[in-house]
Amino acid sequence: MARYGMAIDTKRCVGCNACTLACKQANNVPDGVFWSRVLTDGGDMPDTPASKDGHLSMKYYPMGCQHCENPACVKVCPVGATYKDPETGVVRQDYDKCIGCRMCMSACPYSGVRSFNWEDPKYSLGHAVGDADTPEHQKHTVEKCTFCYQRISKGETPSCMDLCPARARHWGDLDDPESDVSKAIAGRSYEHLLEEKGTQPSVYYLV
Amino acid sequence: MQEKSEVRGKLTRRGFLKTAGVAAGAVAVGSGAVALGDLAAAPAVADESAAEQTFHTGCRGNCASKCHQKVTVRDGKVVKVAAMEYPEGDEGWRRLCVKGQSQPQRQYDPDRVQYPMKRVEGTERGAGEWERISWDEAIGMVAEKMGAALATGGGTSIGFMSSYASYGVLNGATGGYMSFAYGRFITAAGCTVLGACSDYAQMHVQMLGFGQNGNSADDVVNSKTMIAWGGRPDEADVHIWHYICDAREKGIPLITIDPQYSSTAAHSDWYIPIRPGTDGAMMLAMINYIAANQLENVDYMRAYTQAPQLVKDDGTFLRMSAFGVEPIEAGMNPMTGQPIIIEVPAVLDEATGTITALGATEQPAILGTATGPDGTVYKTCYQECLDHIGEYTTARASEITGVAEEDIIKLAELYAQGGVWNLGYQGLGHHVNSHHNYKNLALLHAQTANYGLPGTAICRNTSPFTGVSNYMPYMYGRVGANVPSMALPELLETKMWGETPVDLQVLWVMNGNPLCCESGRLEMIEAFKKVPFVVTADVSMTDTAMYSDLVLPVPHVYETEDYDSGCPTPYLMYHQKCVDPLYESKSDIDIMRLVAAALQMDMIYADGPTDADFIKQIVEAETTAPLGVTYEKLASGEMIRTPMNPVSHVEMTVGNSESERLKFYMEAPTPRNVCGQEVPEYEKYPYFMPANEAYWDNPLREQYPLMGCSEHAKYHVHSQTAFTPWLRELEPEPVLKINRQDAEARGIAQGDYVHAFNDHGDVVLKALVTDGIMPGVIGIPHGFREDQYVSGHAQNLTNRTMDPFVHNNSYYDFLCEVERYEGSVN
Amino acid sequence: MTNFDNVGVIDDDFAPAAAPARGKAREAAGAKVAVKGGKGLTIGIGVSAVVAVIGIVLWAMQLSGGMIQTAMRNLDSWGLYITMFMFFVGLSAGGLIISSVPKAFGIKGFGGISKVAVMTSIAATVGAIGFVMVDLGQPGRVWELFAYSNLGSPLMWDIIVLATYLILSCVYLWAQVQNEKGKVSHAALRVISVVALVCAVLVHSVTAWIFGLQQSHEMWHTALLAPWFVSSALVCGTGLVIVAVAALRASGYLKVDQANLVKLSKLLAVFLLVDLYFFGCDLLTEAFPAGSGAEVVAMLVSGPLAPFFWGEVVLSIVAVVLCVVPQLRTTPLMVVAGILAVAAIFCKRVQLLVGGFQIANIDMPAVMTQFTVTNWEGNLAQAYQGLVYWPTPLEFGVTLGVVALSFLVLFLGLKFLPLKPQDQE
Repeated sequence: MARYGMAIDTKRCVGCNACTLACKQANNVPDGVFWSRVLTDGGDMPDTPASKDGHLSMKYYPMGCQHCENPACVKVCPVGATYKDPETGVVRQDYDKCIGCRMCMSACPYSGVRSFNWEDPKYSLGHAVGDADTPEHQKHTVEKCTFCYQRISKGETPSCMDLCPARARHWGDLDDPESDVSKAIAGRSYEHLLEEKGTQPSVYYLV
Repeated sequence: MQEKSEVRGKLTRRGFLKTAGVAAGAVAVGSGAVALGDLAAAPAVADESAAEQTFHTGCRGNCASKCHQKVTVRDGKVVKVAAMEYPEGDEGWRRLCVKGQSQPQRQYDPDRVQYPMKRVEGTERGAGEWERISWDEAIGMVAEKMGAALATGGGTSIGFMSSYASYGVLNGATGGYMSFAYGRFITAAGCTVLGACSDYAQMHVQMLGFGQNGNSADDVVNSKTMIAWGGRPDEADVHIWHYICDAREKGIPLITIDPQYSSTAAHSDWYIPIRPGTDGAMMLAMINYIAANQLENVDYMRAYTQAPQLVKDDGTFLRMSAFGVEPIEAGMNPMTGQPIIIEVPAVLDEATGTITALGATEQPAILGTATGPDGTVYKTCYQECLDHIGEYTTARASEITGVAEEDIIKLAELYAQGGVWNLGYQGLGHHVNSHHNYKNLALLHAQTANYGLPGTAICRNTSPFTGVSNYMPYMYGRVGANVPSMALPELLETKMWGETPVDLQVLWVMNGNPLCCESGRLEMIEAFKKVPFVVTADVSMTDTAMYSDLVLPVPHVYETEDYDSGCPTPYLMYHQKCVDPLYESKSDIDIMRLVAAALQMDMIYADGPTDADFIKQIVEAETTAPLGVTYEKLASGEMIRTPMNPVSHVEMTVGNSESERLKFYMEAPTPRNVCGQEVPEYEKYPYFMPANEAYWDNPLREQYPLMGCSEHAKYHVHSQTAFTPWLRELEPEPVLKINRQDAEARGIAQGDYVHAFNDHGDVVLKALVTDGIMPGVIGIPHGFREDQYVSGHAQNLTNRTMDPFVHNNSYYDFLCEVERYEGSVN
Repeated sequence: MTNFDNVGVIDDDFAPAAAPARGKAREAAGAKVAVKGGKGLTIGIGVSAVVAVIGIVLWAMQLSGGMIQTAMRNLDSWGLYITMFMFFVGLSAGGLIISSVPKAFGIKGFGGISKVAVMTSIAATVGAIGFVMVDLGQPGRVWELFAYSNLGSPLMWDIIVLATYLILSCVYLWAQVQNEKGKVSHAALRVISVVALVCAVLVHSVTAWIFGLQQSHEMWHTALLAPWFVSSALVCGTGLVIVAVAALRASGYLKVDQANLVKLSKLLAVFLLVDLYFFGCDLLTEAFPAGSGAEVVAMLVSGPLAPFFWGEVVLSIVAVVLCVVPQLRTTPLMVVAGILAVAAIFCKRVQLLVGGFQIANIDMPAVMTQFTVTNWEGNLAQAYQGLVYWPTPLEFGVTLGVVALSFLVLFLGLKFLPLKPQDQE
């Protein structure tokens, strides 16, 4: 039993998107689909600052599925295609089961972390990349970050955690005080995205 | 590292199943259904355990990071790129970014050149009509043109133009020709080298001229203040960013001086926007302020800088030989084989008031003058410099830079406290005349003891380690002429470079895409059209390849072995070959072997029948063999720490001898490419000269009010990743950054297409309206190719004007106007 | 609920003694109507069948070519289909409620329109289910709903309730017919009508909960949503019945006293006022704290959804005026009021559905692709500047097909089922 989670240090993140592409690669994510993206808290375009009274500010939030303790998506899926894995706390998605009703997409407050394959998945390469045991993507089903379940089930870390150039990402079992993530959170102030929605995300943004 | 050993267990199992299947088949004859069932199961399991192999290679592009990569090959295709693990203690150097992660996409990019192609006869160069030809025909064409050129115009009539594309001792082109493939041929035939011009302001003055570089990035935690001046590590060198974060967590402040609000600026404690190309004036004002307020670190200046050295009337240093002191012989120069002669410089002993040898006094004067026995007056080097820059007061600098006077003072005072670590790199050197900045910066750092000590840096050192290298085996003779590539138009006109006749008949472009990445693009294209025969060898169909007569396919880094002696991390970079070259591509070295053979010059590669033989000549040469790195070790793929930096790289790099002292003054300034140009007096000392075009008071601003700027963008390695699909998802098209006020004044809204133009050329692209760039400044993209713009090209706005001292590209040195584009966009 | 006492008179259908005697005659008359009045109906059946088939072909195209052909995207993941689903669930209510309330409470009904009203409910329910089907990415996996039911999902509740509702409507209709034949007792009919009524209320509440239980969309997340759905359903259901009854009367299918139409339109006015009252309550509650809810109100009142907001308000008010001013209660104007009421509720559905997606929870810019949001080529702010979603022609086509399917069911019912009031045969 574990309760996996991650901490992302916004004081370190520069929005380089290494995590974004590590995710795409490991999971052979189709073209046009992102399980993990980097949000800019600033102007109206990525990588632009907000300007207030001549003062500029900009901050990044890498964002994928928040793997909530109290996931809104799991409750609403009529067939249980999205479910919380009791062993790991990961919110998983069963492509074979998904009926494509998109109830989970609507219920998830973290707009955009889920992606529906609106057409046959397309790939810029003629061969599948990434982990050999990544589940195949399916047309007209909903998919999202799985915390790289194929990796963590082998005791590896999710691909986005493999190497953050800024060393801004921390991973591990939130219940284990000795884990990297627990240590990263300890003594730091953090925020959860949309805390008020009561979803209790497993992703902590260190601020 | 267990390269090629794949998943041993699985392979064994697969082998076992194969054997089992055969055995079962044999049994099946007799016993039927059970064995058939076994047989059916076998391939399914075997398929599942499809062999995966991993290789150790890396990025060979010039983003300066040279990430060591673990590349996974499955079913003969590259499927995964991860950062190589670094041994304990060196984990901080482990690195990989989006550009590395997307290399498989680049490798299998449809944009790749797949086979040799020649321009369809009768079509104009650049028309884009190509005919596939065989390698035999291609090599035959090259040999014919080169043979004729050699016969009529000699070696210099063949030019090799390169830029900063790929590195490697076999296939690269460091310095325009340093590799087996090109060095051998160019020096054997005495060809013309048309080398890159980018970044030579910093390289020629700071790095090559003064021999200055920064400490390695893990030293930032020892600093007191970090300043990103002339660079943005967040995008250009993201791999060291975590060291900066560590320092910030320790409470070390970060300051950014930049016309653009970068992510580095966003994380900074203080952001100072500055008009592009004016930094030098601010440096001089800070120097003057520090001098006027006696904030110098006098002990440091005396002990470790040129400051006390006495300067004669003619600008050269006074040496003790003038007073009859014999020069000292100090060993042999390994490069020239000549003895090193030291003529000790003279200084003024403050205590005695007499002129004495450097090193003979603890207290050499740094200011004032000394009078020799014959009554001649000499100035200290520091005094000499100060006397030239007096006009740059903080008030004047404020006018020039747009930075508030109190901010300049505050910054100078921060500098004076020491422990300043400058994170900038190259950003101060992209204007004409910008090379002076590096003298100014050197003096500023000299005054304030911010060089050569732990916790200080004059710039971010992108390659702080030393690899095992040896340039001698590239040489077979000498280069015929060394010409900055942007001088091509003049070269074609005068057919001379300095004293050397250069009647260019054949131009071979390799390791670069100058018609996309060098400035003054339109003039360069016109020049290209005048060259009788142009060959481009490249991985993909670049803008430059488009303007060639013959295009030759070369492999991606994953398809060829090579060794890159550059060492941004403390580990040696050997590229294992992961898969066979795709399509009909051939490595540069193989192509040159064929060309040489066709020209009956095959003897120049005779000592390297295999690539391994050449790599051995680098790492197992007489000079390098004692270091213990063998080809076999490299080829095994293991991580090999460079023997050149066995221990900490954060060390004191200044000393008391003349050569070890921090320099800011050039006694005998030598231009980068000597071609008979005059060397003005001011090349010697810190100096400020406004940019050629992009300066605030330029009357041309009435017509073209916006000043240029650009950056080393996070999704580009020059133009190499222009079409890489994942990167284009993140950043679909080129954009022109424009300040919100400037946009509003021109009726430009977010996402509008705009037409940027000046007298050099124009471009149509999307506007990015942002508060993150200073009013009056625009940012043009770097690394997109011609057909990614609606029309024109960002580099059409730039010009070829080069400072003759450094022959530097001036990407930012242009003015332009921007208007809303009303035409249609596909 | 509205007090039905003032409109209720004993339902003239409730004449048990007459029922058995009339059996045969009715059948004959029914057949005659089918032949005589059936020409228009036959054309209607033909046209709606053709349009429904075209819709199915378009649906097949949507499935094979991918839902990328719709305008729905990750950030606006539901569109016209779910809007129409809500709308049709609403339409289905009115008929059944109007039919069952008098029976359930033993009060006077609306002059022999009971069966027709239930038929409209059945047709609308079929349409509603059709809209869910065309919205599914994997309709072939619909069996999983029964194999792997997650009973905690409001969508699952809705599927159960909707299926029950459809079956009950059919049973109710059958029971009425059988009752007329004397085969089902009034007590049984009354029980069925009570159950059907409860189910009708449930189906609207549960449909509302699909949206209202999502904390992710501030606009939807209100306890008022379920009762409000019921009131909206009553509005458009009544409106639909008025239109249907007037049309059938004009075509000679059935005879209805003008008084009954007037009763219906009075009822419509009451429902409209209740619905507007809920609307007002909701707007005030959203806007008053001047927090994030004010954004929702601004979006409705002056933002991209303003046409649908003001559309609903104006249409509702006009309909109310038409229904309450005695001089205006002419048949054509009552029909107009019915149409306006239905249109008003359609506007409400659009507001709810698109409005729910119109305000992003997280509006920080990030990489956008063709899958992110309908208008993805600018930035996020631009994507939300106008309507975040507008259907593609394919969606309109498929929608038209499902609507046609509904009409087909209705027309087939009218043609082949004995829906004509007994006393008119």
